[in-house]
Formats: sequence, structure tokens, C-alpha cells
Amino acid sequence: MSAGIISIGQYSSRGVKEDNQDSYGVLVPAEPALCYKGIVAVVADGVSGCDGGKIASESCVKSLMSDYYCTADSWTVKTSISKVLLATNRWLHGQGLSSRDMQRGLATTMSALVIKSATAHMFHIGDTRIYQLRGDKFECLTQDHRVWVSADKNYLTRALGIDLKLDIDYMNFLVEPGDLFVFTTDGVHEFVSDTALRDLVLHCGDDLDEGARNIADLALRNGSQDNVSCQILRINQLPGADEQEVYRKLTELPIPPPLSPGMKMDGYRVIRELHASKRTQVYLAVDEETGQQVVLKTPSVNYEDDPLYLDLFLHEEWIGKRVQSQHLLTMVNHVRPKQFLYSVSEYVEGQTLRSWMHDNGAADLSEIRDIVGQIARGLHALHKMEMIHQDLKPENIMIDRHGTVKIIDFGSVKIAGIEEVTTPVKRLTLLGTKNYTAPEYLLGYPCTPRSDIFSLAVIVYEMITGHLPYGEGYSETTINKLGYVSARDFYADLPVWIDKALEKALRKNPQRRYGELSEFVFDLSNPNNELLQEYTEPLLARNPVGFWRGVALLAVVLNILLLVKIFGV
Amino acid sequence: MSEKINLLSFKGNMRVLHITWMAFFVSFAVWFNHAPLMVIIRDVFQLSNQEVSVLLILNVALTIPARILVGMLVDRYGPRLMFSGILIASSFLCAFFALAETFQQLAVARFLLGFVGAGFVVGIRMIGEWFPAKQAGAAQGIYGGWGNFGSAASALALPTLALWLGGENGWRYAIGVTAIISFLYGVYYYFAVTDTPKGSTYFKSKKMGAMEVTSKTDLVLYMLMSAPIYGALALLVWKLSPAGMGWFGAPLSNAIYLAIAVVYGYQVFHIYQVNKNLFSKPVPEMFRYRFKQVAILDLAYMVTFGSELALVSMLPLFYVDMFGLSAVAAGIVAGAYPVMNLIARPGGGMMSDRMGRKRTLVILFTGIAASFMILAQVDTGWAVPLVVANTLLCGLFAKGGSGAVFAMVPLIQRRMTGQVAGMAGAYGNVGGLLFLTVLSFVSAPVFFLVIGAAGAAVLALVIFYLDEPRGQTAEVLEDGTVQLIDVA
Repeated sequence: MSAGIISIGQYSSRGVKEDNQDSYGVLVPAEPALCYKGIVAVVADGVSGCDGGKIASESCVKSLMSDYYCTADSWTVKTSISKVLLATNRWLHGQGLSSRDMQRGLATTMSALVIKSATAHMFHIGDTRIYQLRGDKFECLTQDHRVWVSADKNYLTRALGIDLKLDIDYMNFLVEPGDLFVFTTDGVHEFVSDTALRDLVLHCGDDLDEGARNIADLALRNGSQDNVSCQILRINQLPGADEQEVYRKLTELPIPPPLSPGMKMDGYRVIRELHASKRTQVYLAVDEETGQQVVLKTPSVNYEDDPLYLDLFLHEEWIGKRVQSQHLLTMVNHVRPKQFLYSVSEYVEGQTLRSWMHDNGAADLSEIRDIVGQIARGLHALHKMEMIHQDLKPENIMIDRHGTVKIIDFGSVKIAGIEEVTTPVKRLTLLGTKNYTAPEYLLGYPCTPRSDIFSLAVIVYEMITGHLPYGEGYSETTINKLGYVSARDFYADLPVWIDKALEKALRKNPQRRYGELSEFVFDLSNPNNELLQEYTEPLLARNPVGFWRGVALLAVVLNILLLVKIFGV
Repeated sequence: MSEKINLLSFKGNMRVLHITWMAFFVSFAVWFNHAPLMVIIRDVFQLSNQEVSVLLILNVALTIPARILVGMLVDRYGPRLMFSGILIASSFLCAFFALAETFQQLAVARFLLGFVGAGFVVGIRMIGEWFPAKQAGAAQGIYGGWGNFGSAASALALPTLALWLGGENGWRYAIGVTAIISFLYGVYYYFAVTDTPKGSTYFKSKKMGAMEVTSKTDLVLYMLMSAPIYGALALLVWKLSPAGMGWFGAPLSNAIYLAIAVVYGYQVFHIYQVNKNLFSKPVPEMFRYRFKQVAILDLAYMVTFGSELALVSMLPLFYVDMFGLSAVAAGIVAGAYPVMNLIARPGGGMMSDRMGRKRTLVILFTGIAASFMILAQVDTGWAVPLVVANTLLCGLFAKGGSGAVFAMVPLIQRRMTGQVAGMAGAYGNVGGLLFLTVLSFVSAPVFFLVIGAAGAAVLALVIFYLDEPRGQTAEVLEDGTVQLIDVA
């Protein structure tokens, strides 16, 4: 299949043992999984003390090969693998407990490599090993989780299935074409020295199977009493590194011409233009087959040769298809082939939060809480998928006729799993919307879900007061000089505890903000005593620097007065 | 947001368009407030013809480097602040000009006022932020065309105003009035508009450094095409050096030559820096374009906009000197020339949209070459209405040509529209400087002939070297179905 990307050599033997409890495997999936998830290579050694060694190692390898590819595309490799291993661990552990005989417990070691784009992610637990050969530099990447109790006796300290608490080694590094990885079980590497291993790998040439067999044979000749398994993986080229291909994909579909009412495109009849800006045109249309009203969004011809823009545009639909929530815009699935570049979504009949704010001058708190709660649920759905919205603002939030609130624009969403894919398209030139973007983002630091909490808090603040927490002059150049303006300055009846919750969500330093959306939403409805205490704390505790400065200034003034008094100048 | 541009609307982006073209209008009125009053100023200061021509040239000289500077500043400070700043700053320069007591002061004021001409770039950015692609061309046509009309307003109003306010200092008051208007409008502009529509996502603008080219021959062509921008400034220095007017001493002029050469050298190095990856890997298909297209549009705009700048500057004096008209009458007939902007520039753009880019340029440049060559036959025996009609014809083609050039600019390579437009704009000013320098050596008919010949040369380039930009990829069938045009 994608044999061009990597070459594989494998060999395993039960050796002198009755059965082979080692499992191993390599999976090169088809696109798009290759791009979003990468290649998995793994070796696992069922723990010999247990009867279920084979079952344990096999189920571990299987879950990495299948379950991993079912995790969300938007997750990072680390998140995805961790979730899979956590589930596997729980299952293995549960199997062990359910059988009364402790001998029947399931446990396995595991060393796995995920190669996504130009990066290798290594996950390791137990005493299987992964070696890397680059040029003529040969080194072991893993550390055996073994403890030596005497010169000839040692025990495995960590493995999958032993304990509910799971502690896995993780590291990542860049791979290069030509890199060679050797996976071995302890039956091999305890009987073959690193130098011998290296020499065998170096001399096997293109026949990697032969190399793997030679290594295992040497271990057996040297007296290995265990199963012997060896797997060799060579990187021939990096998956998806072709620059021309990336650009070709971006321009595969042409941008549609300006559409006017009555025009038909791929089975959609345009009813009218809803909105047009420098960046996009949005049309109301009807699917002629189903009669369903939909919204067509077409990219502006202004950006036909801007890869960054096209990349973001394509991602919008990608996101819509992968995150389902009542509070996020639903993308409509295409049944007909597309001739042009555009996205199709449900038509939300209603008004934007911006116009809602215009209509409801002095909104009441319970209504605001309801809306904020819904936005937060939408955001939470994104955060759960390791996506950060980055451009939350009243213009991007719709309230439909039934009062359901939806976030409608995913044009700036940052997707952790996609960020891992290296691409020639330069990212991060977008700055979100002035006034709603968190300070760290304006200043060019990486953003986190806390940045979205900031934006949401700005919106809440605006809904309550009609003003902005840092004033109209908020920008990357003024941010350091500006301070939080209490919402009570504009709306004196606002309970102090709500103002305190807003203040915390709007702190310039993301570390000092709420860590979770739910905490913020909760504090908007329930007085948080911790925050209130800060409010009544003495000056010394709230602003120590200011306090001591004041003391020092006072001392200087007193001393001067004293001097004047004494010398009578 | 409306489907079509509604000129009578004063809401949303139409409001921004109206306020912005008026800002450009004011800036243009200030930039050319001296031309219709030149007759009076010449008498008051007892200026020689050479000195008059130097004033006219100085007025367009600083615009060339100022455009580049303003282009960078607008990235940083946004169009609202920049346009306000330019209008307010120019009101002071204008006052300085009005209060000048010597020719030297007049010259310095005029030189600094060249900065006002860079306002064009700012407004183009503003329109780009507020209008969707479909309407941007038309909006920019209105902005450019109606704004340029500001010079007509100056020509029509200022001589009368000067006469009415009276006396030897009438011209000073007239200029002073434009200074006050400019100041007030600058302040108004700041409070009347915002840089982007409310709530629009803000993107960090890309660095407006050197342009990216996509082949090695294009790289050389680009370096060569950058030279005239500096050459025009060198020409000005030469004009003022001992070889010309003798205004600068030899050491000073040599120092300036050297400075210009160094800056050009730096520019060439910078162009290389930006494009050095040409030598290591191929450029992806989606980024490829041919620089000759840019070069031809540059030269075309040099003729169309350059001739406009030159004619607006010289026509009032031309009517006075050749036909003995009064300053007021000359102002009025000369003011008729830029009036053509109202329809010709947007018209040129529309014609280009409908009839094809290349064909439109061929028609308009044939018109430019012919009309200017006919005008070159002018002598004192011609009836004034005939001369006026002929200049109007010239204006019609030239301004239509400007519109047609700018209709094609975004089609070269979208993401570089700003840079291509900036370079063409600079060439427009180079043309103004070049033609006015020619005028300082020759008579008006020969000057017209030179413009006509330049038009003919560009016509040849357009015919033989300009490629029609690749057209629409989609067509609309009779039942309204939009479908891809089968290229095969």
C-alpha cells in the first residue's frame, strides 16, 4: 500500500518456551488517517508470570492499531494514545480482578512509536525496547522499568494491567528519512549486546526481515530462554511532506463566482445573499432535492492564492463534521460531488448576540446566565476535542427563534491534532477580533482554552454593562497599561461576587484565570467565597508591593519633616 | 449589506466610501491648489518660467518615496489615523506655502506638500477592508475617480476665491482656505470612520517589503523596473544641480546622487533577499505569475496618471500664456480636464470588466496616442473651445486608461494586489515628474507630442506582450446553473 513511506522487517519465535506471548505490528493507514493519525508501530511482551500473557499483549497491540484510529482527528497523538492505553489498562486490570485466581491476571509491556507528519511520538512502559539508528549513531530510546533486587534477580516495576494508576513514558522527536527503528522484547536484548545489534542492523541491507531473523537467532544462540521478537522499521520518506501536494490540494476546487438569487450550484438554489465581507460571502439557499434550507458560505476571491486562508476555510467544514453539539453550528453533509469550494451548514433563523444586545439594553441576569451557559456548552464541546475557538465574539453567536444559542463561526479554530502536522502553510497570522481576544494571543503567545474563557467573559461583561472590561483602546500596544474596570462602575446594582467572577475570568495572566469553563459559569450563579475574601482582604495581602511602597514613602516624608524640624531650614 | 452599490446610500460601507473619497478629494484639492493660482504667484514673485516648472515638478517629487513610507505606516497605524494625519499635516504645510515670502520657501513648501499625494494608498486600503470582492473594484473606481476630481475643484474655485478675497494677497487667502478645510476634514475623518467593520476578525497584515517574483528572468526584470522610481528622483536632482538650474552646488547634488544610488542598491539587495529561494526550489503552481504583466501595467499607468498630474499642473498656465485667458477663465477651462474623472475612471474599469482587459487597454491607448498627437498640433490660431474639447478627449482616454489599469491589477496575483498597485502608483508619479521635466525644456505642443508618443509605445507593448489574465473558471447557464467551464 504505502510501502514507499516505510519498510518493515519482522521476526518472532517462541524459542524454548511453549507458547509465544510477544505481539507486534505496524500499521500504515490510508489517507486521511495517515495525515491525521500517522503510522503506528508497536511491540508488546505479555508478562510471563501470567497465563494471559498472550491475550494481554495481543489486545494491547490490537487496541493501538484499531482504537487509536477511532479517536478524534482533532486530538494530539499524546491525548489519543493516552486515552487508548488508559482504557486498555483498565480492561486488562479488570480481567485480572474478575478471575479469583491471581495467577490469571493480564499484564503486558509495551513500546510504541507513532510517526505523524515529521514527528515521532514514543510511548513506553515495561522492558521492551526501541532503538534508533540514524547514520551510524545507534541508541536505545527507552528505559527498562525494572528493578534489580540482587545481582541476578530483577523484577518488572511497571506494565499495563498491573495497576489502575498508569504511568507511561512519553517523548517526541523529529524523524528524518533514513531513520531506522528496532523494536525488541527482553528475550532479545538481554542476550544480544547493543553493538552486536547495531552491526546486524547495519549489515542487513534492504532485507529487513532477514535482519530481524538474524537478531532473534543470535539471541537464541546466546541462550535466550524467552520468546524472541524483533521488528525493524525504516523511514524512507516522511508522510505528507510534499509541499507541491499541499498547495495542489488547497487549490483543487475553484472558488465559486459571485452568486445571485436563482442561481444553482451543485443542486443548491440561491435564495439571497445574507452577508458579504472582505473575506466571505454567505448565501441562503435551498437544497433542490430535499427542500431543506441551508446556508452556503463561499470564500472571497480576494484570497484565491492565500494558502493560509484556504487552509482555514477548509478546516471550518472539517471541524463542523467532527464536533456535534446543539450549541455549535451543524454542517450539512454533502451527498453530491462538489464542483467548487464552499461550505454548507444549517440555516439558523434568529439574530446574532450583537443584535440581541442592541435589542435588550438592560438585560436581566437570569437571561444572560441562560445564554452564557449555552455558549459555554458549545465551547466545552470544542475544548473536549482539543480545539480552541480563538475568535469568540457577539457577531459569531446566534440565538434562534426558540432561544437556542449557537456558535456559528469556526474560521479561526485551532486544532491541536492538526497543529502537529507540519505544513509549508504558515500559521498564526490571525489575531482574532479586537476587544474579544485574550492578551496572550494579542502578544503572540500560545493560546489555551483559557483564552476562550477570556473572550466569553468579555461578552458577559458587555451583556451586563454595555461596555468593554478594558475599554475601547484595548490593543496589543496598550494592553500593559490598561486595568480591569469593575463592571459595577457601569452597573452599580451588580452583585460584587459576579463582578469578582468576571474579574477573575478576565485576568491578563492566563495562569490566574479560571482553568475550567464550568467553574466560571458556576461562579456567575453562585457566590464564590474565595473570591469575596480577596475583596475584603487587607491591603497588605491584596497589594503587597503597593503597601510597602506606601510605607517607604511615608517614612521618607516623615524623615524629611524631621530634618526640617531639627535643622530648622 | 446590499447586493449592488447604492450611491445614494449613506449607511454601512457606503458611508465609509463617501467619507473616504471626500478625504481623498480634499487631499487632491490641496495637492494641486497651486496650479490655478500659478499665474498670480508668478507675477507676485516675478518667477521665471524655469522657476515655475521647478515648483510644478517639486510638487510631485516627494510623493514617490512618500508612497512607500505611507504604505508601511498604514500597516502599522491603520488607514483612519494615517488619512487624518496626512490631512492635518498637509494643512500646516499649506499654511506655510500661503505665508511664503521667497521662492525658496515656496519651493520647500511645495516639495513637502508632495507628501499629500500619498493619501491615495491609504484610502485604497480602507475600501479594501470594507467592501467584499464583488464590489471592491467599483468602490475603488468611485474612490479614485471622484477623489481625483478634487484638483478640478481647486481649479474652478480658487482663482475666483482669490479674486473675491482680493488684492495682492488674495491667492494666500485662497490657499489658506484649503488649509483650513484640510485641517477640519482631517479631524472629522478621525471621528467619522473606523479601520474595519465592527466585529470583524483582525488579521496581521503581511510585510509589504519587496514583491515575490516567480522566475529568475522576472527577478532581473523586477530589479530593472525598480530603477526608474529612483531615476526620477535623480532626474529632479539633476534639474536642480549646476547642470540644470544651479540651485544645488555640485557637492550637494553628488551627495544626493550617491544617496539615491545607495538606496537603490539596498532595494536590489532586498529584492534578492526576498526571492533567493528561487534558486533553490521551484515555486508552487498556485503562486506563479509573469512579471512582464506588472511591468506593462506600470508603464501604462505612468502614461495615464502621469499625464493627468502633468496636465493638471500646466493647463491653467498653458491657457493664460498661449491664449491670453484671465486666471479665472483659465482655471475654469482647465478645471474641465479633471472633471472627466467623474465618469472616465469608473467607466474604464467597467469597460475592462465587460470587454476584456487587453482589448480595453488597446482601445484606450490608441485613443491616448491619437488624441495627444492631435493636441500636439495646437497653435495660437486654434479656437479655445476646440482646444478645450481636445484636452477633454485626452482626459477621457487617459483617465479611462487609469481605470482599466487598476481593474486589471488584482488579476495579476491576488495576494500581491497591494504591492502591484503600489508599484503602478509610484510609476504614475514618476510619469508626472518625467513629463513635467520634459515640459521645462520644450514647448507645450512638443510636450503633448511626447505624451502621445509614450502612449503609442505602451500601446505596442500591450499589443505584443500583455497576456489576457485567465478568465472565469465558471459560467452560468440559462436556467441559472453555475458550472465549471470545461478547459479541455
